[in-house]
Amino acid sequence: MTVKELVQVLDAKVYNLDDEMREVTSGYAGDFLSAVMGKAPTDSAWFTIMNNVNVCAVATLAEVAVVVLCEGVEPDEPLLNKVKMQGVNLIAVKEDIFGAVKKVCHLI
Amino acid sequence: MDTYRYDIHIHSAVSPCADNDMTPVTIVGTAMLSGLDFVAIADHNSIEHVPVALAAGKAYGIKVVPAIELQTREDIHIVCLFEKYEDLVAFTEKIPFSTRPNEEEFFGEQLIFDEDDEVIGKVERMLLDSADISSDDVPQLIKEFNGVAIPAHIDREGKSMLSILGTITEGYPVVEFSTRAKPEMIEEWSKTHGVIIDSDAHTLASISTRGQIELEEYTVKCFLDHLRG
Repeated sequence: MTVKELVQVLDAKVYNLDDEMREVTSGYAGDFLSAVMGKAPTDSAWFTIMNNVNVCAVATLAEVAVVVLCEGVEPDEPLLNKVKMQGVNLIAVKEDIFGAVKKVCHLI
Repeated sequence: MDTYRYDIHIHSAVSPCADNDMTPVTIVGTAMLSGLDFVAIADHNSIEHVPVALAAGKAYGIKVVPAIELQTREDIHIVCLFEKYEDLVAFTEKIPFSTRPNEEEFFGEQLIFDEDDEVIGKVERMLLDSADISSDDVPQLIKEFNGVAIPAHIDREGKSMLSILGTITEGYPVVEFSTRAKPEMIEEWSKTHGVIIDSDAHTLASISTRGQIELEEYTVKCFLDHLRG
């Protein structure tokens, strides 16, 4: 599915969409950026509650298709500025990680 | 220049995870007997025992560094050191600590002791909870109060900035290793950062004399200036 379709299914709030037609081919859930860096698959949707500017760097490095902030976490200003600058797709949902993944896992 | 021994990351009984015989006077006394020149009680999100520790330091002839171990929004532990107790107090007044109550049957007691090792109260809020401040904002804030912020035990998995963020962010010229860190790792990081080694002791037996520092004067100010680089 595309990032755009993911946004629709999750009913997510969009903070930055640079490439909404990007294909999401897998997923990853986790908050330890050191783990995400090495393990999140390329073109995955990354579900996290981590709100820190380094989320953007890790998303770029791991080449994830979209960052999904869960549990109503809103990106702080440095993170929001950085994803806009770096062209990283960032969306947010109210559900916790389990709930969000449940909504989309059969589609990815 | 003389060499001084330090352990500036020790938990007292107010930290729910520390032994209840870790009273401030016992810690400072044990530190002095162990041959330490500098000691700090750095409790989780709490400074309750610092005044008693400072008084004990004066009585025993050992320098006590006013400190706290802050847990940020990202669950990162940062040891914050100050020259003066008043600066530590003013700094903590700016930190939005969690108000969630402690559940001592699960996490442990958060007892406050006086100079005679008598229990005089307990902290009600949960000290193991994160404060609502980003680790990125700590260096700027601590500067206002002449403090030094040091990412704690970066060699460990849990609560370490290196594990959680995957890097040591800007504004942290000094990093802390636990006594269990591999020598190669300490050596590697000392190429780019100031490095300190502390015990993160939760029991009296764990207090360490491994940390050594060369200073021109035996003062807390000189110690902190050295860390600032």
